[in-house]
Amino acid sequence: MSDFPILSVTLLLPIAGAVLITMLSPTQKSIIRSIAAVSTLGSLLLSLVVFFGYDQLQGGLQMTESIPWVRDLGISYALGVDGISIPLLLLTNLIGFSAVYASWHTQERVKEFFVLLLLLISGVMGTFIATDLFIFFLFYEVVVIPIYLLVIMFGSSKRVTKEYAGMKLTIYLLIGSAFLLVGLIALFVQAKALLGFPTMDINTLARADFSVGFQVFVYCLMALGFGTLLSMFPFHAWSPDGYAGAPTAVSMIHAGVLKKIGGYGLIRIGLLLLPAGARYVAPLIAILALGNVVYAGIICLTQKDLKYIVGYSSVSHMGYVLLGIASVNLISLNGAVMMMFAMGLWPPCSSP
Amino acid sequence: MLIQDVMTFSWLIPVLPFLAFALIGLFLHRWPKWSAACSIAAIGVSFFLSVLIAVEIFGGDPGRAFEMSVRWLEMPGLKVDMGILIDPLTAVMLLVVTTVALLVQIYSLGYMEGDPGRASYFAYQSIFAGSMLGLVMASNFGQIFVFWELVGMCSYLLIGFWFGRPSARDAAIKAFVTNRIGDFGFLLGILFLIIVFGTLNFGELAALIPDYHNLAVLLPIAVLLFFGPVGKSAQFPLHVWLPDAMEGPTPVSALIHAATMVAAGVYLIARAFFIFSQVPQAMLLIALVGGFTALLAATIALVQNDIKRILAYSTLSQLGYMVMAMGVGAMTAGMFHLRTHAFFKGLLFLAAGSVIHALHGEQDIWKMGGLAKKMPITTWTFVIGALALAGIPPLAGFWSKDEILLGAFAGGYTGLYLLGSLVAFMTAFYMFRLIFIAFFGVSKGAEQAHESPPVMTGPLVILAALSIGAGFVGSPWMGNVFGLYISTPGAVHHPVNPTIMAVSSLLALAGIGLAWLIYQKQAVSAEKLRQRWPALYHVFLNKYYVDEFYAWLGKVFVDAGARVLEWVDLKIINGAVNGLAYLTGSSGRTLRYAVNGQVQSYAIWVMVGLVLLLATVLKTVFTVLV
Repeated sequence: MSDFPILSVTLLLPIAGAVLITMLSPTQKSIIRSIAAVSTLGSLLLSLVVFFGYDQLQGGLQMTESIPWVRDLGISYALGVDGISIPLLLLTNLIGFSAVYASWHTQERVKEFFVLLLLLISGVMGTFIATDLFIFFLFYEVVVIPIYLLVIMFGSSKRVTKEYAGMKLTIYLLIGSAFLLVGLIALFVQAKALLGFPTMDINTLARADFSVGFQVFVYCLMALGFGTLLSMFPFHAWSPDGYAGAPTAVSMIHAGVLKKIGGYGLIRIGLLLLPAGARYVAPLIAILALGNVVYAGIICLTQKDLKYIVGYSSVSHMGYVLLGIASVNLISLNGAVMMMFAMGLWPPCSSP
Repeated sequence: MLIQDVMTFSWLIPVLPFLAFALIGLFLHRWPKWSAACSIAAIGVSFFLSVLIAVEIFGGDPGRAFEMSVRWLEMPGLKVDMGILIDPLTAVMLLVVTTVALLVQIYSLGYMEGDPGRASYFAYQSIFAGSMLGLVMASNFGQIFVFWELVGMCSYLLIGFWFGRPSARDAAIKAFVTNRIGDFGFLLGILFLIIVFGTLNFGELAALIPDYHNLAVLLPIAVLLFFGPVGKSAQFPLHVWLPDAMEGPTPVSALIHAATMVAAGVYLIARAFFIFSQVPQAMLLIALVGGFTALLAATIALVQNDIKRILAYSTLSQLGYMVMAMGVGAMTAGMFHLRTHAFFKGLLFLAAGSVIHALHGEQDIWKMGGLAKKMPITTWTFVIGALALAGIPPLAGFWSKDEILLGAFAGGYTGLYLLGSLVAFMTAFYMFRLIFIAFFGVSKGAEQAHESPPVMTGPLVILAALSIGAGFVGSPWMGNVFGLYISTPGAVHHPVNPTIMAVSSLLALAGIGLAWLIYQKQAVSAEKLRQRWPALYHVFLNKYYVDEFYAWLGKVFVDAGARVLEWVDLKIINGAVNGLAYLTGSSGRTLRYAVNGQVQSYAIWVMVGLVLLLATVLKTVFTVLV
């Protein structure tokens, strides 16, 4: 059992499903659906195994896998889970399976729909279990493409067109990831200078002794990048429109887990690698988080479209997560992760 | 039996109804009869266990308490326990809740007969019973808050049980939102407690707080904690939800909105009395809020025409009484009144439900009349309940109301004593106004009324017996055993004062007499009274226009504020984003003329460039030469 690459299998099952589906004829709708259901169910069961198999007494990173990839840059295909990523992994698979279930009666372009949906689920999952910065970023980018196609192909909306919603979402996420990319490269370069060898492994990077000024700079970039994904005020404008414009299954993933990548990234990369920077920027982030909570909460009161209510309220609730991260203490971080899991469960339930 | 034997099984009391809820929700909901049976069986066993616990607790020393807990979560700086605490206070509440809940559920068998949603009705009843029992058994503030929210949720579900009616939906939302305001303050108070004292356990806090003399910290905590009871026990200014909550089925009104849940606020004050009693200013606030609510609600009840609304305002008024008792330091009296009130107000609501059932939903008292002959059991149990509520000796309400008045008087709050006496007079008046109009007098359209089935009249009779007898444990004839067990440090108890007893009884009789003169004998015309003070009548009838005021507040501040922010979101934030996109697009559109693929235009631009270059060169040469 210990040799079994359980995380890889969990991660790659939906991708395998997607590959299988591409080989089928678009008319074989029920087979396509079944493949999607089986692969996401498999991932769900495996993530349950991971959840219960995790040794809580020992803690730390477990079930790690690592295959060197680009040695000169220190990149390796490395996966692992700890107490922060396990709930989110489980959440992703719960919502992934429910999303397939919820779109069971999709009739048009079934093949494309499920291929993209499965890729999306794998992409989100990958960000949560990657322990290598490069792999993390790779999956982060993998998420954006299917979600754009899903929104513009299958979306619907009243306030704005689905093309507008999809484009807005994509541009926001891409601009966010541009900031992130700059931050990651800065981290890599600086760490190489400090440590003397190139590495992309998050835990190894954490050993580098970055100067405070550098930490503040990179953390600001991270906060911009992840903050956009987390729909931090005032970078939230993509979220309600994107939520309302997306098809139900994508709305579920969007409000349920996609935004959690932002919160997760800020904790995993921001707080772990750049603690001093996080502390320095925390007051500003906390104020923006309050903006989320109060501002989006009040806007909810006047919305008449259920999807916009859920959309704005998920913006509001991500404010609590951000506030928990900005408070930088153990209780607040626990609260933030718990909140991410808890609020990941409800938007899917209320997705019309 | 050893105390430990019973106590170790006491956790089953709240768990059984929760189990019943799960069973009904998962399996039994297709068979309403089995759902009902499951729910009633669960609360029945809980009742039996509560009786055992009461026997244990009241058979022993007054100070006896039992506590056990499990750690729910722990991290540095935060410990949250789930536990049960059983002391005399809990034992009393357990008895009250399980008794009324059991009787109400049995009664519901008749009342809800044929309703398509019976199974979910009993599921909600079960989860309510479980939550309420969990609330009274909680050993710390965190846990009490969890169950506090759960009973609020059940209240929401049951008020909106007939959600096909828009009025029921609105009432449910109103109840929920109003309670949120109170709960928000309550939660802040709890958070302050854990920040200041590091624990939420009642016992540990009770040991810490008497030695903590920083009033600047304790006062905000006490006031914030009091927000909870203000919301849940519907005290002014958050009282508006309770009358509307009458949209729920009548047994629900009896159980949740009269006997148990709304009394949770009073129970909380009693439970946290060790905090409140340290802060005199907070106690004064509590007393004033309670007294004001009692008077406000009683005046409104004088002129209402809906049988359930009259009872609802009466409940508000009596809750105000209990809160006032807590505020003047008479904690024992407040708990005593809570207990007797649960029985007689539960009875009054169930009897009213029996009338409504017989009249197919009619709730206007002016369309009833002459019910005494058609529904003797309902009528006479209702009269017993009304007498108990009015405080006629030796019924239950007399003893408890008298103790509250005594507490106010002996505590030096003469103004509140006078106010309480006035309210007692009004209470007797409006209850017997209702009785003379609805049950006696000439029948108006109630010809087909018939007595309800035994499954409904049975609980009425039992509750009537309790309304008569439940007061004796607090009477001097039985040595006031109630006060012996239910008391905490800081709570005062005063010796019996026969004058106060006599005055309050006479006032109650006067109220009944006046109602008889106006509505039975018709010696004084109600119409003329109304015309004499039209302004007062309309203010009472329209509930002091508080609802209208809140609606206006919501419209002006909340709705308008939300719309302003939505405008900001759409025009400024989205506007900036769209503007940026537009800027990018339009600059692209403009610049594309430079690369339109026409060789002629490229040639022109080359020429222009050449001319400019030549001009520069020539200019330089010229300058050098000159």
